[in-house]
Amino acid sequence: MSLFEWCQWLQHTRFATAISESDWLFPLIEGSHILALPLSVGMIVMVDLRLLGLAFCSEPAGKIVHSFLRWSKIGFPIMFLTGVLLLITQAGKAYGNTFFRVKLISLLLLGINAVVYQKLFFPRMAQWDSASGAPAGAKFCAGFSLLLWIGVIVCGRTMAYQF
Amino acid sequence: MLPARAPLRRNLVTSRTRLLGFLLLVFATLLVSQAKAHHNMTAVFDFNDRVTFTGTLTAVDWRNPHTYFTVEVKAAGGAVESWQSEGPAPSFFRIRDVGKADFEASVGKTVTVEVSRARDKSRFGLIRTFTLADGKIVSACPQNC
Amino acid sequence: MSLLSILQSWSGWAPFVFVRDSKYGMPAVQSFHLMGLTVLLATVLVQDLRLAGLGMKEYGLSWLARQVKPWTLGAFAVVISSGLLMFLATPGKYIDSHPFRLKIALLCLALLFHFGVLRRFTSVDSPARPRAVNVIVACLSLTLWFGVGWAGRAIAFIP
Repeated sequence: MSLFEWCQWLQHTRFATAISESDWLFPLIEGSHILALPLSVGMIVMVDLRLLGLAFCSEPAGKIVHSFLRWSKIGFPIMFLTGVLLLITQAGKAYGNTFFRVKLISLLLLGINAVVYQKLFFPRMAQWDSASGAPAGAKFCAGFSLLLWIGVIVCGRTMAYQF
Repeated sequence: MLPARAPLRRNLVTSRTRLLGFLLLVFATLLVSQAKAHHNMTAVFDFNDRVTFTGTLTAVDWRNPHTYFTVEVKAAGGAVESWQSEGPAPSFFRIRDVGKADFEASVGKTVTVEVSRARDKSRFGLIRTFTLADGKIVSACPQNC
Repeated sequence: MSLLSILQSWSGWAPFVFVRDSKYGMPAVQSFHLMGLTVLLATVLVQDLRLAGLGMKEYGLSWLARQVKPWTLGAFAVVISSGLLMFLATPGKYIDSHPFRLKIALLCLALLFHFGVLRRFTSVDSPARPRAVNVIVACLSLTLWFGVGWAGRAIAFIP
């Protein structure tokens, strides 16, 4: 069975059908996916803004990262769970959707970006001089993160218009 | 310190009162407006191009965010044309006391659908009204009209 | 002249026509609306969490409020302009929608609450106020703003 065929099968399972046909369950899942954005992406945006020296500048970067990332750990599981459930209900349709593919690739790149940041910059954050701000590499990660999250949101919204 | 603050606070109250007044005005306008929806244009459907077709309901795709219905229509020459129509979400119908079972009961029977036709002139449209086999008329207005 | 006919006379303006009739006009505007609400609600969340004493306790309440203020205002500008654009492009679709009316009513309440009440609460670091009052204010703020969000989502599902 090809991946596409598996996606089509998934979309027509009783579980997927129950969600997509439900009066209230689908709107609840979709609404939660959108409204968990502030608790997930919103927190990352705050962190990126600090790294770029645009907000919360009088506090050490390491402290800001720690505070906001804590809350994003509640938001991202919600995004992931609701995202997977939504995908299951339309797996076959999403398979060929260009915007969805770009969204997935962007999420993957964001994951890689996070790991790179974790390995290269996170351990040394306490040593950054507040006055001069984060090193150029960290700022690049932050800027890259912001751009990709914008892409994820745009693709997420636009994919519905390509079905 | 205190005398310098007092005038500032008075200004804030004034501008806040104006904001309050404006917001209450918007609030009130929305509550009392009795407007009826008129047609509007979207990228996919032409709300001025209304088509009504009658035929046999063959498929009901009852899903979020849009429902889809396939109707086989006998064209003039005897050939059978397949028309697809898009409806609002299941919850929209539920609020109007219409469920999936009502549509499925009409499968294999004659239905009449009035749609706003797709701009590409294909046999596809956005449902305005759907007359079920038992004669019950379901309207997708004002949402889709 | 009903309100709707006045609005409809404006909807022939080029930007509105573009949003309405182009393939990606609407999703583009909606994307801005989503980006705006992400930042707007994040700033509200941060303040309310601190006010309720549930999080961000490493920072002063008034400092947090001052830091997020430009972002709250900027994000709100994005949300309101994208919202207005969508509304004025197809007023007929929204003005009769019950969730839309509820959304605007909640928005008015949220704005009144935010600039009338919350601002007073977040302007002082350690007020001599019982914790319960802070929690209630924070909960009301979150309920109103997220209520606007949920009502907005309901537009697509409820007439």
